[in-house]
Amino acid sequence: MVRGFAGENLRVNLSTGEIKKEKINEKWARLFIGGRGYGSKMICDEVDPTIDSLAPGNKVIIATGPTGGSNAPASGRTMVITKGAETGAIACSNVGGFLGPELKRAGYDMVIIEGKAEKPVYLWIKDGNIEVRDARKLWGKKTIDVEQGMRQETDPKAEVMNIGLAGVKLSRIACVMFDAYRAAGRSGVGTVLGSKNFLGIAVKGTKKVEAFDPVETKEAVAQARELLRKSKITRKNLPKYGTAIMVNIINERGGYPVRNAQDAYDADAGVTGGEEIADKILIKKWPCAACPIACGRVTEIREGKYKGQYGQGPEYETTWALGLMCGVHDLNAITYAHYLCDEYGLDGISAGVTIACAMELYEKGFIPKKEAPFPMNFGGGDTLVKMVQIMGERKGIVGNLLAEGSYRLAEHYGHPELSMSSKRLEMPAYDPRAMKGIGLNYATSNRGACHVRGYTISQEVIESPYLVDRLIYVGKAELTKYMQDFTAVIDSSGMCLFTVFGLEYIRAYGSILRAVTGLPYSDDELMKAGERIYNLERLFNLKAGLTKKDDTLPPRLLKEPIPSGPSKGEVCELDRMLPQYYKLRGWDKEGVPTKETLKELGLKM
Amino acid sequence: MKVKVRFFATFRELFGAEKEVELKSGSTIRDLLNLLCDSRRRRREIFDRSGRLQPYVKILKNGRSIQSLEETRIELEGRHIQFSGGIHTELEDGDVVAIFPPVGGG
Repeated sequence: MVRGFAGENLRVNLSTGEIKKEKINEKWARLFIGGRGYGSKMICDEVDPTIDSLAPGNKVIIATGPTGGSNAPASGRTMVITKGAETGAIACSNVGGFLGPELKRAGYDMVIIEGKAEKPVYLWIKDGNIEVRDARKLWGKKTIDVEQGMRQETDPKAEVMNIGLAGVKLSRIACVMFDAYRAAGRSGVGTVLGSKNFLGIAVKGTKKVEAFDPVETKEAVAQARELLRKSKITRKNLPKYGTAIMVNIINERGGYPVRNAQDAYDADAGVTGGEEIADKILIKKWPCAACPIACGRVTEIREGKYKGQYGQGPEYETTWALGLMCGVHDLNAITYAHYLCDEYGLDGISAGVTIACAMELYEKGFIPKKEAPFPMNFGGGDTLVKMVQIMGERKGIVGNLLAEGSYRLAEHYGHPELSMSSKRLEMPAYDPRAMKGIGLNYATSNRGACHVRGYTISQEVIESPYLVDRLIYVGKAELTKYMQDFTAVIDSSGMCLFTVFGLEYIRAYGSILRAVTGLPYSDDELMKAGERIYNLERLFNLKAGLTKKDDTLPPRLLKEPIPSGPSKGEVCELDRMLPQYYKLRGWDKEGVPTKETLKELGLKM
Repeated sequence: MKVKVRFFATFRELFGAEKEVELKSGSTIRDLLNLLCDSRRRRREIFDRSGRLQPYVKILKNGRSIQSLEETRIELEGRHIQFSGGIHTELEDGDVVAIFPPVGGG
């Protein structure tokens, strides 16, 4: 029997109240690893890709990986997989915290949520006891209050995931918050839970998850931890400054999108970066389960209008999206806006990029002054905070549209080209004009513009494990495909992507996975599994109606040269990279996997 | 000539955040680093014992990594791409040099 897995999945039908336990399929564990891969296989088999994301027929899978609950470094990751409410594409949001390993200790690898409850409910899992409980008292409250409420009603030490007001109000950019501050953020996965009248899960487990070979597991884990200790990134700078250390790194290269990507450099961007966060607001670091890195930031605003507010963050993505992307330099306002996103359960990247889009629409006169609740110019910290509030509460005409995400907002006002998104998902904090590989990755990522599906920044900027020139587009198809397949393996293992800065190659992940599961897959076979997972997700999207036309970027990033800074004059040459990428993937000119490719991967159309 | 030097992350504690440095014309990145490393601690952080740049030190000249700027010049699809020479990269008046320890995330 395959080990590392808890052994069973829990299936909860909210329409009928039926609860089932199902054994883990060993063949799938070998072909799709677990986590993202295994969960996506279930979504692809069980959900009609053409269905409305918010229909009861859509399902949500909360999936852990086989390394979860072991001592493998940063192995507490969980994936939330569904058909995304914002994108209509397959969605899988990766999140940290402690719930995943706890779920495995309760005896389950995955929870499948299907149907729709008549009234708001949440799920209470205590080992073998499963209860669907009334959630009306907690429905629509702040995520932190929901978490505390669920703990009071269940067990003070239960691990909790929940949606806040944004999910309840079916904002298309709603996330699921784990441990109150960790977000399964992207693609509107919280929205789908909201549409099912499902508030969240509380879980407490007392069992032990057994590895196939405890001695070998210990050794492989020790080796991986040693690699992370040796890396100056994971031992020193990431823990000390958090992910926002990237602000200066990217800005100094002229790849930091400013004011809805109208520029890609700001001389004063550093005031929103990791060094300033460490100096001005940091209280302490916060690690997820089994993590030796601890990039999480516990913070408190110490001066100004928002003095005394506390929470976690901001991180690199949110200090950018809610910061320079909106022209805002005020770190206190950015931090408070980040806290609000966490409380409402809004995806911080999508929230910031949507606000930036609204600011440009407003400044260009496309949002009529009479519709705007207040002046919405770039640069105002208080404006930013007020915009997050009307977005979270869906207040007024503009607030209601902000909650729909940037694409629907910009389309409503007749200018979808001003939405900095791909497949309707807002782009993250790397300008593809200054780092060409990440542009190809945004365009071809199965969940829309996402950096962590194929983090080419590792090679294009961080030089981990080697350097590739960021401004050259030749060779980026190979790099993008490699990183996408590799990432699919890491995401499916249950380990955090950040471990890659120390572990660097597949070898370390392979050693841990083999020792934990007992499955004899080689490193090459694992990379092939990554490719299989990527193609599987692609097939879902094609069946959902997405085409080659959706593998693109906003026209601004393709045609408008960066006006200033170190990458002045650059555009993203996507048209030069995409055909090469399709060819490498074994897809035809329309971006459809060929019969031979599917056969090689063991997939069917 | 004058060049602006910016330090980030842990290097800030050692060198400060930003400096303007006066150099002789024709100076290279190495000359600049020699000038900046005026104590044993600073030197040890930037150079190894045999005087080579520590492999983890990341240096940008006007936003381009000097490590990627090896001494080659190629023409790619009609476009000239110049790689100007690692640590021997020459500096010009008004250049901005950014110096980072290894960092990642985000």
